[in-house]
Amino acid sequence: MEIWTEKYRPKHLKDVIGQESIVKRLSAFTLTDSMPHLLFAGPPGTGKTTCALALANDIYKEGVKENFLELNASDERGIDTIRVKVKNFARSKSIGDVDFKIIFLGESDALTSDAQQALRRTMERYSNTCRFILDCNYPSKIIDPIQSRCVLFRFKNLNKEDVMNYLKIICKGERIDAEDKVLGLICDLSKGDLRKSTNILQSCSVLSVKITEELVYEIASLAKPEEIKKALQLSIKGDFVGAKEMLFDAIYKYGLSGIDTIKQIQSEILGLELSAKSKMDLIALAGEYEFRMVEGSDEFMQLESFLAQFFKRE
Amino acid sequence: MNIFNKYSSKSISDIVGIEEQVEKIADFLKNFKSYKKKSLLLIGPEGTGKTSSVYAIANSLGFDVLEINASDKRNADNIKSIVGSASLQQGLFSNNKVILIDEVDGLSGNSDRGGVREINIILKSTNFPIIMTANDEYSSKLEGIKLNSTVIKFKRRGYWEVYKLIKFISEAENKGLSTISLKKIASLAQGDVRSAFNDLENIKSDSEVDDLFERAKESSIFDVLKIIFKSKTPESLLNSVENLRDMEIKDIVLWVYSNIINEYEKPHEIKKAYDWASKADVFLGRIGRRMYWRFLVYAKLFITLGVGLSKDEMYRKFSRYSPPQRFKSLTKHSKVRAENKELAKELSSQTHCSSNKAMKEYLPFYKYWKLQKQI
Repeated sequence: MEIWTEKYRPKHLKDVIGQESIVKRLSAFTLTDSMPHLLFAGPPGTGKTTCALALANDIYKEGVKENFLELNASDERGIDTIRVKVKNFARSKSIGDVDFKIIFLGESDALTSDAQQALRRTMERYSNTCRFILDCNYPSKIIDPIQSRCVLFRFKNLNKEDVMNYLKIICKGERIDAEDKVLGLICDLSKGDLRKSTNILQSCSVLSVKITEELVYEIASLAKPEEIKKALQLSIKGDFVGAKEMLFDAIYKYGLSGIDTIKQIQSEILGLELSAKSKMDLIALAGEYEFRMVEGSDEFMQLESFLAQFFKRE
Repeated sequence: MNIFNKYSSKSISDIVGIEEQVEKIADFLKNFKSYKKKSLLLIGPEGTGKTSSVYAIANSLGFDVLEINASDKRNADNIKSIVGSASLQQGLFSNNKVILIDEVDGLSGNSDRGGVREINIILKSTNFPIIMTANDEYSSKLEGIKLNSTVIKFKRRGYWEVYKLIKFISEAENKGLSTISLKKIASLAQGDVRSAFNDLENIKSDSEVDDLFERAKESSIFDVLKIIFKSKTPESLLNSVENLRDMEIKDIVLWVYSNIINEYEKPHEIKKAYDWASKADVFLGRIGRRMYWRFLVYAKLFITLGVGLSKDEMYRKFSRYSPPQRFKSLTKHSKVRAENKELAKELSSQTHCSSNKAMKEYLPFYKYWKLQKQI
């Protein structure tokens, strides 16, 4: 099955949606075939990876395969990856006219600080033969020495119009019937995240060619494990044992981290059938427990304790 | 032949670690005539070498040992007929004889009635050296005996000493146990050489050592849980803090929090108890991050006093405490989880995402697509 986010991912900088000023600056690099190290920061689904891929395409043309290495830091986040994979790629000469290679490090805020230190040395030593593009959600998680070696590009959330235009291109390509109102709803639900918008659209299309608002609502809830909401409801009713089991089922099935889970819980609280005051209290508690999670030693214990606090709220 | 008998010391020169005591005992036997008090009382915890050294010394010096221990009936009549008569007559075949009364503090009040009194009488009139052993220094049974005997104390053996001994034996016997296992056995023994020897003899592989170790740990953690959950007074709860000394605090926190719902039933109690457990964990995290060990005090107080005092009333029920079952769920879902992981990996290779991200961003949709396609 083809995944639309890939099928419709812009191949060249000129096709990139939104982010005009960034695209303009990046395009300048392709003219001179030179560039500094880059740091892309911004929320998910705003085009960081797309820009990196498109930039590489525009610089190397057919030679992309040999000269561009993509690594996902959160899969390969250890110091060994940096030392071995990155180094080996970085130290060999580029092939073709352009005299440097590019390494794209996706999700690099997931790099351990040791790995970042190792990376910093590598960036310095091989700066003749290699440029780095680091991608992250929060630049503050990248150590200062690396930040100072990179030019920072801040990606903003795409505006509704851009997202809708992009979705319309897909609708046309896939012969889907969706009114502007429906596409607008998709944009709103995914908060300017183009990846999510596309995924929702594709999921809707699996069910029917004609897309309605109800369908969108139904699909949008897919991204959230429903077990979490059920767990909260069970705990409120007083069935803590059942709630606990339900919550941990979700965690194991989807491999959620403690922080992932508490984020989900926090976003579910407002949708629970509780008094406004209880909801506010619980949100405050969510903050407190997320803090404890960061400070403490055992994420899942904190999570379970938090779940117990939902007991008998009204 | 069991290891303990095989490797217990055969002569004075074999004995290690308690040279001072051995010298005193040997001198007593050699120069018995010049001693005013005609008996020795060896006091010390079990497995520290009291009985063994008596046999080894006697062997070296050519003494016969007449032993009477807890397996014999030791009432007044029996003591009189066995010990009393032996203390007066001469040995037939050898000149020297030592009477060993093992575990005198273990004389039973009922069936060994009058035994202690009889011993005290014999001590004054004996022609032969009498050596007694006892564990409990403060036992009331020893009052008279202590006055009439020279007391020699035995201390718990050090961890290293025990370790060296069992390492030597393990090698001599080709047990093939790892160093870690030997260390575990040594630490479990807590200075009791005999128990270390017994463990060593009964164990055939490293994994059995782990079981043994876990069992020992569990039994003590159950005691701690009982105190925390069942007692209501701050004093006894504070006491339980003392009992925690040898245990890994992380384990305790995990055990206590896993058992909150096995004990408490009222929602507000559960909430409170969980809150304290959570706070204890926060302090554990802070210790780890800042290496500031004073925080340990708070973690301990929260997990004992905090959780213990979260109840209104003590539950008068039998509570079945269980080991932390965090990973039970894991096995239940291991198939789904493995599938998800595999899918996420595949998706990751197609979508320029890490597999973590693919799991979150693509997987729920992707599974839905596949599901709909099947229908």
